[in-house]
Amino acid sequence: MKLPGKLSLNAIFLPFLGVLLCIGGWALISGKSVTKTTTKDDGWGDMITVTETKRVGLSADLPAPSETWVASKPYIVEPFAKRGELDQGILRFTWLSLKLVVQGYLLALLIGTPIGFLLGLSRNFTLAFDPIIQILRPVSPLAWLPLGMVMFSGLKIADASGRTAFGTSDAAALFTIAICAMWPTVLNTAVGVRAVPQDYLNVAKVLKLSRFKTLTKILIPSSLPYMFTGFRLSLGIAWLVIVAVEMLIGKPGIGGFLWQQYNANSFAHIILSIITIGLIGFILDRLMSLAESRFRTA
Amino acid sequence: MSERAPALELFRLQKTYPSPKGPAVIVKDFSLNLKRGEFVTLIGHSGCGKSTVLSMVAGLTSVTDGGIILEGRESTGPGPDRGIVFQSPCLLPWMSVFDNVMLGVEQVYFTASKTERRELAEYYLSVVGLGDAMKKSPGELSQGMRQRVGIARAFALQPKMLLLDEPFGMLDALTKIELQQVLLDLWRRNRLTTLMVTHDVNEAIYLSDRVVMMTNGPEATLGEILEIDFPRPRKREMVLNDPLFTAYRDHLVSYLTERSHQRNEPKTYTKENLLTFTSDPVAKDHTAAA
Ligand SMILES: Nc1ncnc2c1ncn2[C@@H]1O[C@H](COP(=O)(O)OP(=O)(O)O)[C@@H](O)[C@H]1O
Ligand SMILES: [Mg+2]
Repeated sequence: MKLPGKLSLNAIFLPFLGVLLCIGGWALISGKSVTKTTTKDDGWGDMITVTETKRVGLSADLPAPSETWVASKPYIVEPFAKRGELDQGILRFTWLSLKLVVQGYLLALLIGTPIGFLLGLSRNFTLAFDPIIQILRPVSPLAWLPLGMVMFSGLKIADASGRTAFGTSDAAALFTIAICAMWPTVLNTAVGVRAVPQDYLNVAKVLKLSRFKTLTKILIPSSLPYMFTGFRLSLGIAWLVIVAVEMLIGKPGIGGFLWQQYNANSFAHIILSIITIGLIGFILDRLMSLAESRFRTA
Repeated sequence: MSERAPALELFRLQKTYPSPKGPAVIVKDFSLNLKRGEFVTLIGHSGCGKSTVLSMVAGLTSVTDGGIILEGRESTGPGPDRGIVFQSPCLLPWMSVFDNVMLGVEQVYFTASKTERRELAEYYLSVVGLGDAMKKSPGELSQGMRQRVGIARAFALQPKMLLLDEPFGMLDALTKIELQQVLLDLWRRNRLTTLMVTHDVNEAIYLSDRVVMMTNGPEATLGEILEIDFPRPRKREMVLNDPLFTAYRDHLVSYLTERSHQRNEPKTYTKENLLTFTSDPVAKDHTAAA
């Protein structure tokens, strides 16, 4: 068979082509440094040479791909280096961010799943709380974070040496991630519970299963595929939120690094951060999809 | 309670659904008694309300009016004292075949030991021929095998009665014959009072003691009753080749084609006073037009 071979060649070749085209476009609009040497009169009659470096291009300050690579290399070839609190290898920053994301995400699942079940099971609960959920859902993380800071102001859990191990900004960060990330879990779980086939509910009715058994033997297994779709979308949002949160509270992490490098005029590192954030987000989504498809076939 | 009392008593059952054009009366004044250990099938045109009656007896559809008395007690909701097998067996796909049966067994025999429960589930599964497939998931089974599990599950609960709604309706002819045999074998051991809906006239005659014919809807009710007088245990070839079988068949088919729209006082027929197709062509045309 020739066709599949050809197809799979395209499947490898075309993504490469796409990436190359994007880098090409980036190279076109980005700026480059030009050094101009001029000879001029210094006002006293002597001729001097002046060397000026200027950036030119459509977007003059945007680093070119090659510049980005050169500037990023130390962070990539030594991904776990720690040269200082805000100068660490890229994967070290990523790891810090991931730890925070996982905590906030688990909190989101822990709160979101039961709310989803209540919404799916009780019409009255839906009538009571659906409007407020619809209003809170579109609120941006940038809006939640200050509220979190206010809610948890003064919180301080010290470690053995007396330093703050978990303070106001940590709590606010978790709060923001959890509240932004939980909505897909809430809504998908509710849809899943409402979609439990009547046949399965009849089994529970006929056998007179207890509420607990109905939940564990029927409702949860039946709505699990929907729940996992929610879990996957929630993880995506949690990862989206972490960058904003780290920027605002200045925590070390991939988002904090990005903001700090912007302030330090190291524009190449912004691009490095963006690519890293995108790649990690993509990997997380793939992993969740794998888990999801396992439950879909089950 | 005397042995003579009916196992199941349906008294003037009525089912009404609200509809935009006012309440739609689906079933009305449906009264029927089943003796203990009797096998009764319900036939009638599609959409007349057979499933509605069965579902009311199962407790899965509310009764608008009338009453259901099961073994001397008014029955108001669903419960494991009625084993149910529907057209699709609705097994839980996330559990193994064995666990599907165990789910009910654990509910009903909560006083029995774990081993006793396991043995019970294993016994019924092996009787329906699934001794080797117990650990499989329902998705791995053919339609016919799944329906075997449904039958095993219903019998394993040792219910007071069995309710079957076109249980073989989705199976091919050969599998259908196999499963009818499985059902009869189990039924011979347990003699459960059984109410079964089917649209297969042959199946109704072969399996039952009485065939209950329903009138066309709306306001469907009892039309006629036909007593089937074949000795048990029945042999398929013997029944099919008996001239009486053809006579029963003619009676039922002529009811469905010619008399199911009529509303008379329900009459019981036996092999002595069977009816057959009308010989009057005018009457035939009349029913065809109706
Ligand atoms: N939930 C419902 N709401 C309204 N009408 C219904 C409902 N369920 C069944 N019906 C109507 O009741 C009638 C009888 O249905 P059913 O008992 O399923 O018929 P059968 O099993 O004899 O084919 C049909 O006309 C159907 O449209
Ligand atoms: Mg039906």
